[in-house]
Amino acid sequence: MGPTLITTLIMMTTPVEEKASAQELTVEPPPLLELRDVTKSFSNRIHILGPIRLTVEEGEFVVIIGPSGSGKSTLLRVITGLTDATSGEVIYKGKRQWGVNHKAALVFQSFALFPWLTVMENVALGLEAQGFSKPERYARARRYIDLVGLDGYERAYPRELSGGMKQRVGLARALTVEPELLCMDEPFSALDALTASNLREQVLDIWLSKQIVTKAIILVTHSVEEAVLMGDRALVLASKPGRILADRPIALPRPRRLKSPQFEEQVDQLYSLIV
Amino acid sequence: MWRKTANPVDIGIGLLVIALAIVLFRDGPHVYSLEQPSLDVSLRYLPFYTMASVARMIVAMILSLIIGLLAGYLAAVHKRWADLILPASDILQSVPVLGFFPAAVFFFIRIFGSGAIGVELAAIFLIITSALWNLIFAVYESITTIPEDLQLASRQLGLRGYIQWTRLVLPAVLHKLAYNSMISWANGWYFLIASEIIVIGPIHYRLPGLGSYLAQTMSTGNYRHAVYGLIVLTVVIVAFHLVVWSPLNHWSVRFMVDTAETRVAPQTRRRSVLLFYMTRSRFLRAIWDVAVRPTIEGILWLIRPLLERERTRRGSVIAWFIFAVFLGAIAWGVSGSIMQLTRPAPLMYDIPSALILSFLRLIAAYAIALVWTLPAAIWIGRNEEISRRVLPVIEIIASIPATAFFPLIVLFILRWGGDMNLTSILLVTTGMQWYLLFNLIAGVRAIPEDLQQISDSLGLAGFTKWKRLVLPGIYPSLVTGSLTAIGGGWNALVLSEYVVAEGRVYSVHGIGALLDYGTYESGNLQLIVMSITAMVLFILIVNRFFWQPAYHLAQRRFALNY
Ligand SMILES: Nc1ncnc2c1ncn2[C@@H]1O[C@H](COP(=O)(O)OP(=O)(O)OP(=O)(O)O)[C@@H](O)[C@H]1O
Ligand SMILES: [Mg+2]
Repeated sequence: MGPTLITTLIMMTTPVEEKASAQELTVEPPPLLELRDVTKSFSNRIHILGPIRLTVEEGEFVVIIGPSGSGKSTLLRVITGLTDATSGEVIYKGKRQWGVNHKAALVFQSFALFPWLTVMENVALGLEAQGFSKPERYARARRYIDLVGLDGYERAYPRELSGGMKQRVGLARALTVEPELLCMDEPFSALDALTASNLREQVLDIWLSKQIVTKAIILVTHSVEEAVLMGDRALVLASKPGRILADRPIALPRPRRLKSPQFEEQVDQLYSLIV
Repeated sequence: MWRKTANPVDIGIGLLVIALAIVLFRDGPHVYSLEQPSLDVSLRYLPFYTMASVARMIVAMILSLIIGLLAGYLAAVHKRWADLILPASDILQSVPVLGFFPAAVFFFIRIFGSGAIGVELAAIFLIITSALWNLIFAVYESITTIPEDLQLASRQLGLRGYIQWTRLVLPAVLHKLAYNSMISWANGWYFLIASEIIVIGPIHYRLPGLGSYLAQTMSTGNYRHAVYGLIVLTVVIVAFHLVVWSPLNHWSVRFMVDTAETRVAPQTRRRSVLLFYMTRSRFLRAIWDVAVRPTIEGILWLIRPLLERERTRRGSVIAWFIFAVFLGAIAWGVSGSIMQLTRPAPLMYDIPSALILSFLRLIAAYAIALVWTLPAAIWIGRNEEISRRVLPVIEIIASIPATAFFPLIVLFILRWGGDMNLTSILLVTTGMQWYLLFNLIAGVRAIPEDLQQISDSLGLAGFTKWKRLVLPGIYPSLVTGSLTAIGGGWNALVLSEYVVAEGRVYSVHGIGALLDYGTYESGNLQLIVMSITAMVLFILIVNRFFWQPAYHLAQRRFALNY
């Protein structure tokens, strides 16, 4: 907990210098995340994933696309350490990762909010587990509640919120622990089109304007348009077993517009890979 | 200043403590004695007896909750523990309270002596044996049904120890646990009389309390005082229902984990005034900080080794200790019965016929219970308005222990020409009907509104509607309700086939009466052990070959989640 706290504090105050000093230490800094031939099978011997080889650098927004059941959620759980890989290694900042990676945070497709806790308590829960005092964690949680546009709802319970608002809580909860790696598992697919597009813009805005200390985002989706709209890079996953079919940079300038010709072209390209 | 800080709950608790202290110190020395052949039944001491019984019940309830939480949690997080705890609870659940008498006497009273502490602990242990098992299952079920994503989220956020318990485990189990605590509490009262008078043949302990007060006034025909006792009992039960269980169950609804997009019905959002003051009570806050929190943390520290995947030194020591205590207790019981094997127990050969007769009585009682609960459940469950008005009243009636009235019922029925066989069937019904009723009501309510409307629009009516909608709809709850009802019935047999009234024993031939005879009259350990073994085996066989298939059918064909 000690080092986490200190690095977080440093990151909060001086995000730019921190990067510079990291470069001084090593000639070539290790990538943020590296998967080396990761596979996953469940106890009934069904081979679900891999082998998967993947590198995520700092500053990247990676999107993973794949059909339903291709193992996207499983992959995110392996990355965040919520399940162990059956074989292969998860390397985080050059070190082999064992168990849950608390430098990473996960936003769930199903929100996974604690129904008996208020918005504030939900958002501050990670900090409570890290032993922050009540005023400290509430102050920090309030910052992120405001950031996702939920101010005024601190004392509401999840079941009093709409789907879009619940996902904002999920997002704020993940951001509040100030993760270096933010993983999102189809965060917009349970929302209606309008709410989803709103929240997408907001996430992009938070990420691009560097309002958070997060160094990389991995977003899982099965919408090609969403991938092209948000990502710097798209990984296409194939089913049975889940493996990486293609790894394409998306080099469109931002802000990206949904109906522009270049956008459509990118979308078509990715589609052709999937079908 | 005074106005501002005064919390009605704190004031109430303060007054209660003062009143209790007065009763305790004024009357305690006069009536608290285990040696006197009979209780002083004068009205003046009734408050003390009541207090003693309530205190026993509360201690037993708290211990049951702690044990239930731990056992259920261990079973839920570790397969290894589940394989031990769940079958053991299932078996022990079907052992009637008398079956624990030898353990109570030979374990607690031998270890702690036959002074107040030993006998009190024995009585509390007996109450626990009638309150604990459903709590274990409730905790186990609630924890295993926490949505996977919520568990993952709590691991991802790093919840551990005390925070994990107060933020995830306790809230997740609260709803089922609160409901089952209410059942356990009623069950404890149902068997309180049997728990306060601990007898094995010549060994005889009688704790001063409401249960023994009722038993004595009834068995000596002192009806005036018996009625006082019954009134006090009823008042206590109703008060607890109104002050503790009803608000608790209302409040706990908000802790239900619902994954669907259900909005909570408006009435559950209503804040109870009592709850408002309880959450602001300094006294309760202090109790939590001083007692509850350290207890949770201490217990978590103690059991931590049990949860680790790799075996640790401390873990093995604790596991072995539990195992050794278990083995020791069994060895003790077995050696006792072997020593007595030399003594003749002719009644042994009556066990098979007794078992059959009791089983038939149970079936008859079950039929009676079903005949009135099924229509009642449909009537109540189908109508929101009726259930809102009737249900609270029924809950209160159900929590009044019928056992306290048994001698009166026996005398009444016999006087009007009934025989003891019929009487004991009716008495067993009191130990079964509520399980059926409440489960069936829940089942009727669980039939989705749209299915109702569709069958109406299809013109289903009368028998067809029953066959196609109502019966399949309530089938799962009918199975669960029947299973618990019959389990409760086996337990109630020991109180229903053998009743002492006006100084006389009224009994019929049956496994319950046999057990009573073996315990109360002959003190023959061999007979006790054999009756219980036969009974438990019988129950397990019926469960295995009848209820289990029925239950699987319910889950496969009639589950309403598709
Ligand atoms: N605990 C488990 N045990 C056995 N099989 C599992 C388990 N969890 C997932 N699977 C299987 O792994 C496969 C991939 O599941 P996963 O949830 O990762 O897919 P997904 O790509 O996220 O799908 P979706 O788009 O529907 O969310 C599925 O076939 C699923 O049945
Ligand atoms: Mg998924």
